[in-house]
Amino acid sequence: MKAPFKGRTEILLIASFFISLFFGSFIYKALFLKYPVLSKPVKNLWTFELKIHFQGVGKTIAVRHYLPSDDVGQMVLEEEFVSRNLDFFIGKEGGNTFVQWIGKPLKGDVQLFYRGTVQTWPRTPGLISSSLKEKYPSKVSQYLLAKPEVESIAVEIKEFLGGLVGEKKNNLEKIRGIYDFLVQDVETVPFSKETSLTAPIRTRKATIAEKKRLFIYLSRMAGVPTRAVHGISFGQEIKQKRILSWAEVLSREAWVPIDVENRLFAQLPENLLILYRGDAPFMDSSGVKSLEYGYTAKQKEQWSFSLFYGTATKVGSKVHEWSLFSLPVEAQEVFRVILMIPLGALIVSIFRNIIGIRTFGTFMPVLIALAFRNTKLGWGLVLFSMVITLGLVSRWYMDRLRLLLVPRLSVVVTVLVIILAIGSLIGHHAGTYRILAVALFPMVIMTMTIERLSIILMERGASDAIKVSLGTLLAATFGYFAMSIVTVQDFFFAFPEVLFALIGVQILMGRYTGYRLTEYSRFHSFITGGGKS
Amino acid sequence: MWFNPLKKLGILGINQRNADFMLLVNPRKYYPLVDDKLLSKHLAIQKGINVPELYGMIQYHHEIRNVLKIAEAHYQFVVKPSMGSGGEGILVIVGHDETGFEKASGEIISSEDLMHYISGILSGLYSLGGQDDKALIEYKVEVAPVFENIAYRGIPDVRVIVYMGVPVMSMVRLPTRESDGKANLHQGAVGVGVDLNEGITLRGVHHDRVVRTHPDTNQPIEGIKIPYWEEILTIAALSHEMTGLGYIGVDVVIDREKGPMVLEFNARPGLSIQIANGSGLFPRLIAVDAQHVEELSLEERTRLGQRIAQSQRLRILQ
Repeated sequence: MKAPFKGRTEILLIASFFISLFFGSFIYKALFLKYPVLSKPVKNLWTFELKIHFQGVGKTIAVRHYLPSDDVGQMVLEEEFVSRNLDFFIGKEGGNTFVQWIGKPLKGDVQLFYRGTVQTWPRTPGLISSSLKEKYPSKVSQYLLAKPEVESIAVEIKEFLGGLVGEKKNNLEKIRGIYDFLVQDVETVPFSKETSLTAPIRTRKATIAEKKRLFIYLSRMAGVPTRAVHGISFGQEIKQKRILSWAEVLSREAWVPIDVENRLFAQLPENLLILYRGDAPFMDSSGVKSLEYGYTAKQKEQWSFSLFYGTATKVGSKVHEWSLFSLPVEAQEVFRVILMIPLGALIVSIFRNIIGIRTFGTFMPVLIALAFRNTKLGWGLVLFSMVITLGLVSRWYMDRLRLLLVPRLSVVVTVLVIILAIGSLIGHHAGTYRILAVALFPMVIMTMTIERLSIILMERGASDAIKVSLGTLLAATFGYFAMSIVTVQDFFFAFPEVLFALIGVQILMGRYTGYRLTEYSRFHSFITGGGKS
Repeated sequence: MWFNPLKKLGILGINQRNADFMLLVNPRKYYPLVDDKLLSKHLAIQKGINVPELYGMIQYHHEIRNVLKIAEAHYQFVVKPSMGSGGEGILVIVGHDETGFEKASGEIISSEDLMHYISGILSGLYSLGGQDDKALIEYKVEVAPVFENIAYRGIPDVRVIVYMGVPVMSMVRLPTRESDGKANLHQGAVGVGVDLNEGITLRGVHHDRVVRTHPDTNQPIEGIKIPYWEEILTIAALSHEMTGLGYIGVDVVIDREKGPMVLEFNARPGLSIQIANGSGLFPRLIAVDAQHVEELSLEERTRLGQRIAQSQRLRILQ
């Protein structure tokens, strides 16, 4: 009598230990550390691109442009600069960020490029406080300075302002009065011969630019700190954008937006990117001619996990100090792949032990699936089929030559390398670089496949080898798809403890003694009555 | 699984065979004993079991010429790799003279060809993974008359599944044209179930399908009485002590004159034998587990196997 298997309880215990280890850690991270559980597309992520094109005139080149920075309702996640021949640096000035490109005297075309990834949130500006404040901190007082060029203008405007908001008791009413005057009483004209602060008051006609300027001027004269803001509006459409500007007035601690152009009082459109504040022009340049520039902004496809990480490191969260997110980016990329291997192994286990599809070895399908990642599926399948065909042909031919196993395999590998070299050359001249992407790693795996294949060929013959090849291919393709799902990758990366759960499942599967699916067809003759005879 | 047709029939699946039987009763360290035919041959001889006589063994290339000396003493012989699998690499010489050696197919090869062939065996041409191997030169088994019409170029063998020393199921494996004279089911040989009590063949299985005649000769394969049946079962039962393995397939050939001989042991015997017998292995293995087989004599174990097989067959016939 054989010793009955006693480990069943132990296996259940170990498996449930590992699985609960995962759930414990998972629940802790999801509930207390607020990890996003499912990676999902982020809607409020944008790429903002700035392109500047000019010709050098042979003098020292300097180009300066404001850049978005972290602000209420927006956060800059990534930035990228491209400038051939020019150096650049990022500067900060009065709360604004700018990039300064500088370069030696240069002639000919120059292109400058900036791309920023920005996340935006709806801004909820507070209402303007009704209390009158007499004194402002010194850093705000600059926004009270109203310096008209000519004294007489100041007098004229002061008189007008007295008539407009003189009796108003508080800031809210004053600002409202100025806003209503500009929006309702002053007609918008597209063009005016000269910009003036006083003409609109007299003629009740003004361009948009004049209105904006006048609003700031009047508010400041009325004693409310006011400043100009410039930005870009994001939208679904991908097209050239122009820089918008509006005003902000200070109310208690918060700045409240006022837009006389779009008639927005204390509100902002969604998805607005603030570039800079102040009266300075958005761009400065010297040593250039034929300056052209453009802005594009489009929604960026990204998944919540990578974003979560990007944000968390930025705000210096300690949560990630010991997570895989803290690894250098290149190591992260490697680990994203490595973490997928146990999943691939599990899939192979399912294929072999539960479905009953035979494969080359246990981990060949996982490795082949990894190789597919490098080659992409289509070319990977071509390569794989080539290996199988070569193996079969070499078996057929070299059997007659009676070559020994190892030299025979070497011949097959050599032929494969030659085909790859030719394929790469053809691909290169045809202009596709996909074939060139066949790296060393897939090559090694294909070589191992050849060895496995030839053993099966020898042991079980060609028809079996083809069956096993197809099984391997199927498992590898499945593994490839499973391992390529971004959500799964992100989940494994954010919750590497899921590997414990995998161990638990794998242990349980190691004691799976039920029938394999293919055995139902194998023993089919039994079920259909063959067994009765 | 509340209703599972395979379970109801007592079919043993691969997972269960591996996890509940092989892993528990086949210690890995004994596998080399059965994977190397030379070692298993010595084991069998120690236990007094008949094996095809070993004329000689060649391990190193400089010994290859010895085959000619061996050939002088034996008109017919078989050359096989010691660690080959699936019947690969077996060369049958049915006669020779000064012109050369005649293969079973009638082809004549020179002595140089023969030595080159052995060189291939030594270099691992037929062993798994290409490791170095030994060439065995042994007695050529003669087909027993009872199998003459149902074997295509090759020697049929009797496969007995032995669990804890109890023979529980058996089949005859008939070579076909497709299997190229080899007796392996996955290469296309026909497996024919054998009633353990009488040694009479039941139905056949070819590629997992039920057959009643030999695909090449069209001769019926049912109802054939296998000679030396009791002896074969005894040899099978002994293999448990011989190999130390609890779940094993024993391959026995029947020589026209010398009777049953052990050809080889298999530590991972296939499961198609169940189709050939129209009966599942699982209830038989469980029935063995219910007995204290280690206290039984060889004779009692054989009887036990027959009794279990009988009751299972009756159960199926009901």
